[in-house]
Amino acid sequence: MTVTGAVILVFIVYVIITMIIGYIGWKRTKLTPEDYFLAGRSLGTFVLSLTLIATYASMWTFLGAVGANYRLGTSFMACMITWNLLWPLMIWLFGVRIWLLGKRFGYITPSDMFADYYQSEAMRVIASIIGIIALIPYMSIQLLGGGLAFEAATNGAIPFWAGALIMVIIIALYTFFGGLRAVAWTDVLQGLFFLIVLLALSIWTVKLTGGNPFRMIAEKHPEIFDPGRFKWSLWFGFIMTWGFAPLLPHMMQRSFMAKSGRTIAQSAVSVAILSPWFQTVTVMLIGVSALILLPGLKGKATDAIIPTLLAKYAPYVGAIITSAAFAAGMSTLDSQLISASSLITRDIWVRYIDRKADYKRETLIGKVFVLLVTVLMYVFVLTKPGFIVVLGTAGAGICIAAYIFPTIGVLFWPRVGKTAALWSLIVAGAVSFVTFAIWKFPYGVHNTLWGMFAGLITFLILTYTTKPLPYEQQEKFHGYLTSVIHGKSK
Amino acid sequence: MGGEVYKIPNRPWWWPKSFKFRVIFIWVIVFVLLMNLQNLRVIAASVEPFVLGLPFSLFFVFVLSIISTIAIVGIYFLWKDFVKRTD
Repeated sequence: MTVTGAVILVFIVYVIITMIIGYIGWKRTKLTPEDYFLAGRSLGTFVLSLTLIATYASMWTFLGAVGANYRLGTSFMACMITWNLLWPLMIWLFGVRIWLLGKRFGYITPSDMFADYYQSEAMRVIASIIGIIALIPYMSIQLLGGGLAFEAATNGAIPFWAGALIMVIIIALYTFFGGLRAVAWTDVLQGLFFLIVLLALSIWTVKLTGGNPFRMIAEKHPEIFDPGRFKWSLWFGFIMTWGFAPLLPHMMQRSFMAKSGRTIAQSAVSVAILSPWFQTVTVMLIGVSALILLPGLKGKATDAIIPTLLAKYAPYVGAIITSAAFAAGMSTLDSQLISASSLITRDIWVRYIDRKADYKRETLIGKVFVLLVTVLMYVFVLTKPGFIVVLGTAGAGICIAAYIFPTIGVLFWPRVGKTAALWSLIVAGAVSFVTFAIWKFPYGVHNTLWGMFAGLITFLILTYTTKPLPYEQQEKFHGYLTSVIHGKSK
Repeated sequence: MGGEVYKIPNRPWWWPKSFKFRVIFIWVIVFVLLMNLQNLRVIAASVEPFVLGLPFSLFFVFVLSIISTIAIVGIYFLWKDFVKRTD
């Protein structure tokens, strides 16, 4: 059997298993938005932990982060493990409060929460638009990685466009039919699969170097220990982006999906172990070993280190790894697709265009948008945009910079009024978009930081100079959160 | 709850209520600052000595990360009452 044949065979087996899980998810999904978009708020600790980690870790981890460790050395490693320890903390900080409010007031999207708390339809529409704009580049990197992985593993026999197309069709199918329940269950399979593969791959690549790769690197590539290879301004931007990733729409919706506060708490503990130690360290070991095994790679070629490594040293094993890379990408992309569809359907379509839609019709519209977003994303990715790492972080940064201040108002700071929240959302979103899409990273500073800085100034000035929300509204939310979290009114 | 009246807290919104959580809060800030030393000349260039097979800069990163992992897991036990209330 040829290598291309092996890749296709393993991939078909993987797809069949995924589809069976998707089918079971479909059979259990009711035609209600809460069930289709949030799996009926029923996820337990095991499924929630793995869907969190599988959604968080993506093609970006499997391909982009390995390449970044290769190019930037230990300063990237330090950065990556920092944000991988911060985001479980953010699940504690934001996730449990978001779950409490979601359960009590029936929210399905983050915009539902903003609009209800600030009593502002403008908040709803703008937050949704920002969420969608931010998700598109982030979703595209999954497809970009899928296409690259297939092309590299088959030595070009399956071209980039075909690999990405295969991925798109499979995801669209099980997401369309099975909704979030299918997505969460396939995430369990995909998450376990790629974590095990990453672990095995890191052990294998270290062994392949024939010794302690760090000793060899200290002699052959001492430059990877050079300070400042990853500039501070980007370093901090990456930490603020991925450390606050639980604020991204598809991650925030995971907080809505939990069965109880306990499941979120236990999931935060699980990801605090899995994310830094099973994901970050393994990726670092692969990147470092690749410096010895595949010296001299530059630019976009570093995004395909794993497939290139396998094509050179173990072509047939590459078939399994390609499927694992797909698993990493698919588990993120399917969640983002559902999230993007819910933002368009819930926050815009049924509110302003088709107001008479009942639950059944709303769910159907959600499914149609899953397909439309998929097509749009595929067209975007055919242009082969930028480095995987840069593209994903910049897209996510737009949303995080925009969402962070209104979220602080809802969950922590009763003084924040509608005007402060709305304008911080707009200013942070616009500034982080402009500093990515038009004037890229001015003065070398990451767009997340530009957006957060502009948003923070706007937020503070307007919070202290404009009216807060009525006391009853503050009491309804902050009184409830305080009573549950601290066990009494304070 | 129980008819009690909600009062807006007079501490800053970002400052944790209990002492234990304040310690963790301060540790997180220290952790991020110390990790950034990795990118400064202080630690980043320190390849020697090798400790447990790791260059000193990476060993430094791992030690801080282990402490932080323990802190995150520890929150679960600090917040057991809250976790029970949400069941």
